Amino acid sequence: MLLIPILGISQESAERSWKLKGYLDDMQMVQFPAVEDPWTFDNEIHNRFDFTWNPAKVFGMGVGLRTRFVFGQSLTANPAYKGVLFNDNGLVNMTWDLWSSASAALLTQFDRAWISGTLGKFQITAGRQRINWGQTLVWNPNDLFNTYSYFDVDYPERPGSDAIRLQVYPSATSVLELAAKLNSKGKLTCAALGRFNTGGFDVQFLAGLVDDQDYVVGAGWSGNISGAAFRGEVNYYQPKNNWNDTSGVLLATIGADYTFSNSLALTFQVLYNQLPAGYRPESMVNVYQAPSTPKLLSFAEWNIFLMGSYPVTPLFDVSLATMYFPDLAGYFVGPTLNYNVRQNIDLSLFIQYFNGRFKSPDPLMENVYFKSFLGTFRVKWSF
Amino acid sequence: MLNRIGCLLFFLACVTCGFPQDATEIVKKADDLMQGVTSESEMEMTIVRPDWQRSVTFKSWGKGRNLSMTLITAPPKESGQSFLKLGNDMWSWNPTINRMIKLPPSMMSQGWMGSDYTNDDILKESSVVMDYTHAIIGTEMVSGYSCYMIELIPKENAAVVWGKIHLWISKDAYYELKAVYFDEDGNRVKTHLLSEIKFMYDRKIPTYFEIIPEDKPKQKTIVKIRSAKFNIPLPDAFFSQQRMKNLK
Repeated sequence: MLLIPILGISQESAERSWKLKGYLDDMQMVQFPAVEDPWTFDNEIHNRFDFTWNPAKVFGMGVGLRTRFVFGQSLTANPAYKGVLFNDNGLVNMTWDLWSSASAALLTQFDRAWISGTLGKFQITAGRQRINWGQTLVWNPNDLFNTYSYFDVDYPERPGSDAIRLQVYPSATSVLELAAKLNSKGKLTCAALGRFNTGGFDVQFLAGLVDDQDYVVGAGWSGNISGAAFRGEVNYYQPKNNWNDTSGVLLATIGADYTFSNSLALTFQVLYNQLPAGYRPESMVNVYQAPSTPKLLSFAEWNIFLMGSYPVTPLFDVSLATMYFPDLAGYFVGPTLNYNVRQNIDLSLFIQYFNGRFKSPDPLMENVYFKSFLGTFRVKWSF
Repeated sequence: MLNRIGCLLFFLACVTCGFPQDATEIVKKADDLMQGVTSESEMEMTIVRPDWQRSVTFKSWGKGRNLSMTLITAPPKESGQSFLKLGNDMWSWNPTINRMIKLPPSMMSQGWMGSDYTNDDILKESSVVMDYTHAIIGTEMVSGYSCYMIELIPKENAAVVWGKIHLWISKDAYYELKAVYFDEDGNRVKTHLLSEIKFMYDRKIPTYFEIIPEDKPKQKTIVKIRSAKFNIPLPDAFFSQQRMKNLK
C-alpha cells in the first residue's frame, strides 16, 4: 500500500519536462597570514537555483541563478574586492549589485542562461553556458572557454561564458564541436574540438583562437592503465601577430587517479605552465582567484598535486589535497572534512594553507613571501 | 535383473520428477526473468544503519551485458548525474559542471554510494549464467515457495569476485528468492533476500531486495523496484554519450 503513492510520484516526475534544483548555504570564513597576525572574518550566504526545461526532444533551455550576500572585514579592508565580486566576464553583463555598503554586498548573477536545439545527432546551444573540455581533474589547459579556480570551494558549477556551441555526435563515443564566445571586452575565442574513443582511451584534439590574441592547438586524453585512470592535456599558444617568432606558450599536464578496494582514492597531477617573462603575482588574490586566461592557469611554472580522499563512514568524508611548487619553494595544504548530517544537509570544513616565495624579477629587489591561512566552515542545504 | 532395472528406472524417474531440469537452465530462466534482453527500471535504494538511513533513486536502462545507462533522480545533490557503460568503458556525466569523466575500472568494485550493493551488482559486470558452473544441491522452502537450492562455482577463467554463490530459485515461476555469496575461503559474505512479488510490465517478479552483509548484521541495503519494463525496443545507439546527457 505504501508503494502506491510513491509509484504515483515517480511516474509524475518521469513525465515532467522541467526541473528545479539548487542549494542554500552559509559560509563562515577566517583568514590570516600567520596565526599571530590580525584575523579577518567574513561570512557569505549563498543561494543557487538551476532550472532546466525540455518540453520537446528538439528544444531545451536552462537558467542558473546565483545570489550571494557577502559581509565582513575583507570588503571593508579591501575596496577593490567589491570589483572582483561584481566582475562579469560575459559579453552581456548579467551580474547585479542589489544592495551594497562599505562592508556588505548583495549580488545576483545568471551564470547559465541558454537555449538549445537538437536534431538527431546535431545539437546547438546558444547563450551563457559552461563549455567544459577538460580531461584531467585539477588543472585543465584544454578548457579554453571557462577558466576557474581550484581554490574556490563554494562554486563547483564554475562560471559560464556567452557562447554559441555546435555539437555533432558521429557515434556513441565521439563528438565534433565548434564553439565561439565573446568576453566582456568583446574579444573572440573560437575553437573546434574532435574527440573519439580508441583502445579504451578517449582522445581529443582542438584548435582555435583565444581572446582574439593567440592561436592555440591542443590535445587531451583519458584512459586506464592497470585499473588506474591516466589523463593528460597539452596546449600550445602562438601569438596571432607574431606567427614566426618563438614567443609561443606551452601548457602540459598529466595525471592519474586510482581507487583502492578500501575506497581510498588517490589523485595525482603535474602541470607545466610556461609563464610570461618576469611574471610574478601581486598578491594572494592572484593565487586564489580564477585565472583571467587559459594561457596562465597557475602562478607557478611547475605544479605538483597529490590528493587522498577517504570515506571514514558513508556519511563522513575526509580528503587532503597538497600542492608543491618547486620554483617557488612553496606549497599548499588543503584538508577537507564533510559530514552529511541529514539526507540533504552537509557540514563542511575547508582549510587552505599556502606558503611560498615569489622571486623578484629584478635581482636587486627582495623576493616576496606569501603566507596565507583560510578556514571555511559551511552549512549547506540542497534541494 | 528386472528388479535392478526397475530400481534404476525408479531412480531416474525420481531424478527427473524432483529435478526436472538442468541447474544451468534454471539459473538462466531466473536470470532472464529479472533481466530481459533489454530493460528499463526505476529503483530506490536505501542504506540502513543502526542510527541513520539514506536513500538514492535511480533509473537504469540495459541491453545484454555490455550496454547500460543509469540516471540518479534523487537526492537533489546527486540528481542529474548519469553513467554510461559500453563494454569495459565507463563514463560519468555531471550536469552541474557540464563535465564528462571517463571512470577507471578501480571505481567498479566500490559500494554504490556507500551501500552494500556494488557497482558490479548494478552494472552486471559478471553473469551468474556465463561465469559459473551450476549444480542443484537440494530443495528448500523460502517465504512459502518451494525452491531449488543451486550452488554456483566460478569457472576457471571467469573474472568474478566470489568463491561460490548459493541461489534459491522457486520451482514454479523461477523467482530468485534468496542468494548467499561466499568469498574464496568459503566464508559467507552477504545474503540477498527477495520478496514482494508484483506484476511489472509483462511479468511477476520480486520487487524488494534486502542485502545483508554477514559481518555487520545491524546494517543492510534495501532496493525497491518502483517500475520495470522488459524487452522494450532499445537500439544499441540509445547507449551513447549524447543520450547520457539528456536522460529523463
